[in-house]
Amino acid sequence: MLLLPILALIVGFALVYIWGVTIPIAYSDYVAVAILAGLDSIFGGLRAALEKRFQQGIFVSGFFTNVAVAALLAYSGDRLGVNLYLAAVVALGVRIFSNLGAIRRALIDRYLHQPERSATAFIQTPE
Amino acid sequence: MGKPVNRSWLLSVTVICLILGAMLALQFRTQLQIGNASLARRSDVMAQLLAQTTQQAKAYQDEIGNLRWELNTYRTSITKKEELLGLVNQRLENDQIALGLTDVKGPGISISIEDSSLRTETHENVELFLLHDYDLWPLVNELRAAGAEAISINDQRLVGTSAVRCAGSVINVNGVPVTSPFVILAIGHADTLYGALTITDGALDRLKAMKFPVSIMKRPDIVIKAIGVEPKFTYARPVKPSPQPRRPGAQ
Repeated sequence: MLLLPILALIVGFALVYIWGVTIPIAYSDYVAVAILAGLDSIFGGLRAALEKRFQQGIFVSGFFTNVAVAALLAYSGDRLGVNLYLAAVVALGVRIFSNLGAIRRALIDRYLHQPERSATAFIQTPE
Repeated sequence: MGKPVNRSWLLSVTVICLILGAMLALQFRTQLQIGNASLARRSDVMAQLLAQTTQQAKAYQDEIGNLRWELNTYRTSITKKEELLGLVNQRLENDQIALGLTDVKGPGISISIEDSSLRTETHENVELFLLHDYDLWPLVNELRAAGAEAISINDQRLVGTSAVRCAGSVINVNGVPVTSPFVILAIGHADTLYGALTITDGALDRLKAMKFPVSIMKRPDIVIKAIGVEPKFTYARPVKPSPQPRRPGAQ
């Protein structure tokens, strides 16, 4: 199920890598922050899918806005002389890890602890 | 729309993953480029370059020596033939001293000067205790004003095209790096040169006030080496004297 996105990741990487295009070194930092934003969006999307509240419009628009805003934030930070990209790195890093945690929990719940969960649910019902 | 459709997320995640993969490759390539660029600046590469350049410089020095010897033999053979050329030769000798093309000897003074041995206090600038180009300029200037005929700093002959200039932690003289202790040799009237530098509140007094170890000595037999690499003139060309002498200011 997750094979298709991973395959797409590899294909996209290979295509651009073989194409051999590079960006000016000065913009390298902004792309790095944009990549972090993209990763965050993808993990957020996976989490939403696992929690059965995935909405395509929100996911796609979120990806592009986050990528653009993160890069823009880093850029304007450089112009202002404040390391604003640190704010993006910290915020996105925290979100990536919390999303990963939620994904892990959801997967474990789904594939390992299905009976236990229903048991707790059963116990908790009287409340 | 509000109702989540099963598996609809797979397509969009796949597409976004494709884009993210492309971005990753872009960044990866760019970082690789930066890595390669910094690799070229690594110190071992620099050391190799330095060794090569030093070797090349030595080869050029040898060539200069050979050419000078050749020039000398030609000149001596010419002098035997023509009496007139004796005058030209004398003139040439004079010019060669002025341009620093030959080793010269004669009476003069030797000055040695070092970086200060004073220890720096915690928040004092260490630069204050090091010799700079602007510490040597007044000495050279005074020596020239006192009629020094040949001057060298750490065996680098000072001529018209010479520059004395700080470059990082060394001072470049004629483009050759020299460091403390500095030995300045000057040929001329020894007493005049000595007096010009040791005058009260003169160039040496100022250096002594900054606690730089300075010593100055009159010597009867100073030898100053020729300039290492002769200056090449790419832009300056001699102007042929016009038949009528031009008055200053006349167009």
